[in-house]
Amino acid sequence: MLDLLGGFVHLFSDLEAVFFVFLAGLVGIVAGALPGLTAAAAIAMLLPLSFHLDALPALAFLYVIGKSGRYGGSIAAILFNTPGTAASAATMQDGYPMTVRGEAGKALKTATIASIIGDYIGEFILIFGAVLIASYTKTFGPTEYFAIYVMAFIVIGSVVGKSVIKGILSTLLGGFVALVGLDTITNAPRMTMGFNELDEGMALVPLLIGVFVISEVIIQAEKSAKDKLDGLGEIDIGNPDANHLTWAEFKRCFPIMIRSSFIGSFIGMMPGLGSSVACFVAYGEEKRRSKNPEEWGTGIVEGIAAPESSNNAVSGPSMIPLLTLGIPGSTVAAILIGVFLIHGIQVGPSIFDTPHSRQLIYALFAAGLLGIAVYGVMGYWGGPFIGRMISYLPPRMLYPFIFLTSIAASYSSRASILDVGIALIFGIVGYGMRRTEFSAAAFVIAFVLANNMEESFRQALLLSDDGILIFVKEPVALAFLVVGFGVMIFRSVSVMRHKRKYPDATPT
Amino acid sequence: MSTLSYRTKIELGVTAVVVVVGLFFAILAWDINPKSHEIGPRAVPMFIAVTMILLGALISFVALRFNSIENGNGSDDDVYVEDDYGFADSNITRVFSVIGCGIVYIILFIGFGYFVATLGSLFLIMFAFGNRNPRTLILVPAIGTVVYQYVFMGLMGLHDPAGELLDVTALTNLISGN
Repeated sequence: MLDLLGGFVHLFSDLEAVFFVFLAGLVGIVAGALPGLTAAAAIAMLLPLSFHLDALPALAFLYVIGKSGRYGGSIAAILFNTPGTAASAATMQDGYPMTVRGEAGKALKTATIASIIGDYIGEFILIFGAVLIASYTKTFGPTEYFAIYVMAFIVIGSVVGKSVIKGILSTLLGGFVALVGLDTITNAPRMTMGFNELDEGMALVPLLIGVFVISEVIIQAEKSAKDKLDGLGEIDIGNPDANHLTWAEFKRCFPIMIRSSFIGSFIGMMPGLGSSVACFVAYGEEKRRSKNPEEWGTGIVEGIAAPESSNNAVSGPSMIPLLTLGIPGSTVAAILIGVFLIHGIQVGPSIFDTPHSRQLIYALFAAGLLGIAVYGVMGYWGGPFIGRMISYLPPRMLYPFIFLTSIAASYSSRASILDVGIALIFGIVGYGMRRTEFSAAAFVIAFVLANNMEESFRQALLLSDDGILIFVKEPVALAFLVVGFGVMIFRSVSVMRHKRKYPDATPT
Repeated sequence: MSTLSYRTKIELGVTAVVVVVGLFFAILAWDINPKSHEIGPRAVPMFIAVTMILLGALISFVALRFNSIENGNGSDDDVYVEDDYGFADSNITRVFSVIGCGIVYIILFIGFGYFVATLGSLFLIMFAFGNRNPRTLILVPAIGTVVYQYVFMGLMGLHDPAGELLDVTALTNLISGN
């Protein structure tokens, strides 16, 4: 607790960081509320800006965008019947019917309160859980780390999408692309195809921009001729009775928010299982527990409280694998690894050992807690206004600027025009992945992890007298491998069963 | 092939792409000097490439195994396909227009520098998104380009190289303040 107080002192002594927390609250809500644009896409575009900031403002800015972006998705889900992010897909089911009934204000307030409660619970689990787990994991060597990386690859690949095979293929593709460049042990160039610029490897920024932003611009270009946002015209926030969340309604929702927050927090700790899974699990569980399950989906506040508290509760715990093992549990965490490395901070359990990085991490936790309050206040009173503003932005004007910003951001990462070309190539790759149910998130997480995985694999073999058997003889490493393969088998079997039951609807 | 569902056809196409990419990766990995180490720099890339080829083939196997037509679930038209899956509703013209704008950006950037590349591609991408008002197509890219020039080259201090065909940096530096 003293560390956390120290984190707040550190945060408030850096006014630039506080400013960027407030800015991130707004940017994240707007980005999340824009249908199609995710928090990860916004972070990808803004990542080069963070290179010009000190470590704390940069990390706080991107971390809080991840939180507020998740919340912002609920605005689009409730007002436009389009999930701003995948995490808000479940919120639509009850949110939009309330908008149609003229209760958009009540729906938005419920989503805001649920998001705040979920996010705070998740953040406190992160703060107190990360240090505890890190004290154990810092004894791990390359053998255990290789097993952890393999487990992460397999688990993320298996659970992140609809298809186990395609999920694992996504991680393999990301892993291969990451290995382009100088070999970390022999320093020999690999797979650079004669481009000297690739000796340093593929940069994270153009890759992120390609798979998340340019692919989305392509999809929006396809849609722009035929689609328009609808729903906002039916908003009626003039009636206080219909748009005020009553105390009785809050009391009904509060236990749901608490339970769903713990569901989201638990799911958040699992690498690869993100908000989009958490929101449906919580929604399904609360509907099952409800005395009136038939009312769910018709526009009730409970149907917003469950998914919104759950999807925001994912945010904090998804950082636990990053801080305790160096493994990003989410796309946002994967991007944050890049920011940590740029500022010379090695993520993993040792991050809590040195006073400088420990102080930075607790200040980041403080920024997260402040950021939740910031987006909560902005969203509670400004949500309808932000939604109305977004509805006035025609996609034909918005997305050209998103495209140009993403191109400029790609160039700015290394001042190389080659990176713009790489972003375009990965834009096509990302578009193809989305059309065929591959996972962009698994691809990016594997890209971030692959070099460390290969390094620990080769280091472990150099230290081993038994060759590759070392991964089986070390009990901790073996346990991680068993968990990884166990999850893959379990998930494969459940997908196959579902496929047999619904042969037309389920992918491979 | 006429008895295959739409999903199965797409999955076979996915297999073809994954196998070709896997082979390409295997060729790239094969070119790596393995050095003298037992597990050298070639091992992991080659393992990934080969695994990709195998998993790519597995996609086809599973798709054919569960091909709904073979399971007798109806005609091709009856098969339910999730929204956004496959390329049936793709607008290839729009896809290539976006990528084309990016390629134009690269060409203009090399020839004329950042400012002209931004101006030209912003005009084109706005056109690609269906903007047809001449005033909008002239004013918005012009104002937008000045803002981009100021933010990225001025405030963020990025390298603004001279174009190989025409050097306009003397003018653009007035905007960026360099």
